[in-house]
Amino acid sequence: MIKTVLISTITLLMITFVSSSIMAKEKTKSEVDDEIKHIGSITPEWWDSVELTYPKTLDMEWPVQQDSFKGLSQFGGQEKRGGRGDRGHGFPGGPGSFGSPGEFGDRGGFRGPGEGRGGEFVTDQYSQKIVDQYLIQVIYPNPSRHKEGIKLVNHLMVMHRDDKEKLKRSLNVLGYMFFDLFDDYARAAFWWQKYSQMGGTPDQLKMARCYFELGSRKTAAELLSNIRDTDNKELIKLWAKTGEVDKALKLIDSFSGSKKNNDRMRFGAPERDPQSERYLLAAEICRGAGRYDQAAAYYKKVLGLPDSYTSPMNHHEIDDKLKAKVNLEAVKQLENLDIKQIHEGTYSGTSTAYGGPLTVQVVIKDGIINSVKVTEHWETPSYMVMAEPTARQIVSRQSLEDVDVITGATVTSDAIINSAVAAVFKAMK
Amino acid sequence: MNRQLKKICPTWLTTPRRRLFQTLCFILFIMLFFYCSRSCRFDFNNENGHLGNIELFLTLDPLVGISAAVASRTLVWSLSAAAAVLFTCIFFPRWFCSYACPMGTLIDLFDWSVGSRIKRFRIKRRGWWVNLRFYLLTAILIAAMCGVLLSGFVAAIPVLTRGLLYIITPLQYGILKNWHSLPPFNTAQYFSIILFILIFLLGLLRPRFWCAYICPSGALLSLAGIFRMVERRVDNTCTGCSRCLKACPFDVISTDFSARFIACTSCFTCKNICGQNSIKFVFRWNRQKNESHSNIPVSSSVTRRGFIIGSFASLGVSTAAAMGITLEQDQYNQSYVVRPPGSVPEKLFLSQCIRCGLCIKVCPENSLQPIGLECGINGIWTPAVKADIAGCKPFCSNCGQACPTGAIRELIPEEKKAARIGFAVVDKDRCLPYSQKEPCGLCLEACSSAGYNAIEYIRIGPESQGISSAGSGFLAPFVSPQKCIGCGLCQARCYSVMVNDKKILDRSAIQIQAGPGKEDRLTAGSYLAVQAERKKTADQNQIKAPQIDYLPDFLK
Repeated sequence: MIKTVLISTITLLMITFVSSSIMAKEKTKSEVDDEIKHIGSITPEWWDSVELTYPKTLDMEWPVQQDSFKGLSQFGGQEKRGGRGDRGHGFPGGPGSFGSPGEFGDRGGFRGPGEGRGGEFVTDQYSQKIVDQYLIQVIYPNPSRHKEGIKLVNHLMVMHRDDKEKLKRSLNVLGYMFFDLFDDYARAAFWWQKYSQMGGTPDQLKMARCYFELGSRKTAAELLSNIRDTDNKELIKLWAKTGEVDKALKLIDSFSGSKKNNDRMRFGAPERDPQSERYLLAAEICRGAGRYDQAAAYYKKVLGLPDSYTSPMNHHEIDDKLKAKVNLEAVKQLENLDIKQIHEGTYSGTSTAYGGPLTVQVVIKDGIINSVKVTEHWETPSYMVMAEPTARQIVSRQSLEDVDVITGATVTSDAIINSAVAAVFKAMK
Repeated sequence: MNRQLKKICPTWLTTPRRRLFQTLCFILFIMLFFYCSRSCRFDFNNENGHLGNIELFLTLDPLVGISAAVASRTLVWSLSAAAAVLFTCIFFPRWFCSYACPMGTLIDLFDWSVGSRIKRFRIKRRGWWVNLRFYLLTAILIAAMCGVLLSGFVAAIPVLTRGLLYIITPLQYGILKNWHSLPPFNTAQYFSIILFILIFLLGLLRPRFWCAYICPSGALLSLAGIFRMVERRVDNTCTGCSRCLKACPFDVISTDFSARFIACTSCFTCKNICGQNSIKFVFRWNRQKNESHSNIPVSSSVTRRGFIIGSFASLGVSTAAAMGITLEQDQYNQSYVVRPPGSVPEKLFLSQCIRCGLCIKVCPENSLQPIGLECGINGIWTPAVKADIAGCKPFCSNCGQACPTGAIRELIPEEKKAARIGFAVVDKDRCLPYSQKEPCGLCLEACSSAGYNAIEYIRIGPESQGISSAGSGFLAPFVSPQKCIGCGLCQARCYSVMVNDKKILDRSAIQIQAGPGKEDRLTAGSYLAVQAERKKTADQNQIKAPQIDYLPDFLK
């Protein structure tokens, strides 16, 4: 008995020590730069095992007028987990939204894959012709093609090594792809640094994210302060992550809502006041920073808003008020939660997701969270698959606060965390 | 005990060995049909999981093999079983009908339990129907020569298997699993059930009316009896008590106690029931002195007029049917149905498929269903993959193992995974991502979890010009024609979620379609080779780039 307690305390201590040391260690800019240079120039281990084939019809000349790849910046990593065509949280009308429809109007009608000439088997003419379209429509959505996508751009880079503009473009695109598809911040930063050496300006927000992820909050904050356009959810969140929570909260006041609103209007739904989104974002930031009182206050504010601000616009959204209510409960529990005081046993907690109640079973053994398993849910399977890493992260990080919400399956992922909070809360009593 | 037995089932006393054999055969048939096909449902992932000879009795029915072989002009493998049965008929004329045929046993059971109690409809005398089975047989064989397989409608065992399949299997499924997910019935199935019940109701006219007068399989066995070695003789000890006349289950014995040899099934009931022991079964060439009655069969039943009219009628009917069906077949050629994996080309398939329904029976998830008149009359009761109910499981080739005529080839698991039965076509008006309504990836999930990986995402933007910007639009499914084999798992998934559960769509947004260019149907050879060939032609539209360094020298 004493032995187990001893072992568990030691493990717990070690875990807290290791995690805190990782969190606390701040690297200098030059340290991170060295890391970028070192890791970024190492060939990825999958490199030789992946073969590159691309459609014959693809225009490898990569003409400049088609340069719209910046558009890819509009979706972060959310696509790689496969499934959800969420509209992403990009900048509304930010740099490089793809050409307006009229721009390519003379190219003739749209043919989807499957209704081209000669039967069912012709893919979309643009996706098979224009490199950028191929990347956006075919490579990005399919995780199995990510590696060959990198190789394709690499191929383009070597092909156009003498054309400075195209070479620059390929470097930038490589940065995006390592960032978006592989979460490989070192390599992304490496290629973007090459890009800026050639005279280009890489996406500052993403560069900041790279420095943040690689361990230099200070450099990240420096880069962020250079960004003029602050009306961006990702930017605000990153500010909060670097520790400047108050600054982030201040920026939220001028936040005009995510791009979702624009999409809604296109489908004829009325525009919604972004107030409820602002509050939810603020609450999320406060929660992430451990300011549970403040988070609870923001959630309560959402509950006080008129329904027209919070009701869902289509049936794959849930009501903001419901979201707030569920999270409010979780935050209240988090406030009183001390993860060191949990008792051994199996506990289950329930929260609300898209489909309805979602139940999670948490096994606590030797003072640590041994397993987190979703036992009952009504979610579409694809969302559930996407959100599954959340449950694993709770176990691996031994934390209910420092868990990444999966973009694209936010609601499901949130629900897993909240249910786990409810379960662990039970374990404390 | 003897008395009890005499009361309940007197025939057990007269011919115990026959009854015993009959019972064993019947139990074997039922076991094969219900048990073996059930047990295999649980280990269809097992490569060695073999079905057992579930098709045994179908191959023993000689009409099945012979008509299928004639209609398709191929050597159907069950021909050998048919030949063996016909050969044994030389020693025991038409023994199959009274000893082995499960249909006969079932009719016996019905006659004993129901038929013997209802006397209202009994008819005393023989009529025009006495030789109907021969005319039916002629009609079937002529139609088969024209390439149309009609034996499935009337041959004994297919009628039985179909009847059990449509009546008992749904009950079994409903009771053991649930009634909600029972596959829907179509008119063709009701028609088959009615046919099946009618056969039993015929027993009210005379015991084993069907077997004695109508069953064309029995007629074929009778014809083999022409070369019989053993014959029934009555000697002059006969007292004329006419017990044999009453006991004969097949209405073979005439009033002068001679037998219509062509109808005799060697059941020995008359021999055993004779008090005088005056009935003997002897070799044909053994002439005995004390024969009293003329044993040269009286051709009373076959009059010249009847024969001529009958043969012309059957000739006319069969040619008309054959021509009509072939014409109609051409007309219906446009509507393709998805056939089970391993099916031979459609024309050959229709002339080989006996419509026994065994493939439907052994299909583990009920994805095979009989079709109605979608392919014309000729296609009635043939199997088709109804992917709305379930998709075809990657490793299962039960249907090929069960097929008695080779209309569906038996495939090894690797071949099965390459056998292309159709192509999944996305209905862009219904598909949620295509119509820019909602994100969805059900079909893709189903496809990749089965290991086919034939569906990929493609970003479809809302802009009508087809230029998609990165963050806009939805990820829609795109089916790769090289990889899709038309298993229908995607369709089943879409149907069960979008149509059954959520009720958003009226039909699945991804549909398996068959037809030229969408399916491979080989009579012989490897599907894997065909798939490889297909991949090779597809690769011609791809450029293979040389391996280059991750970080080229000029950037270092």
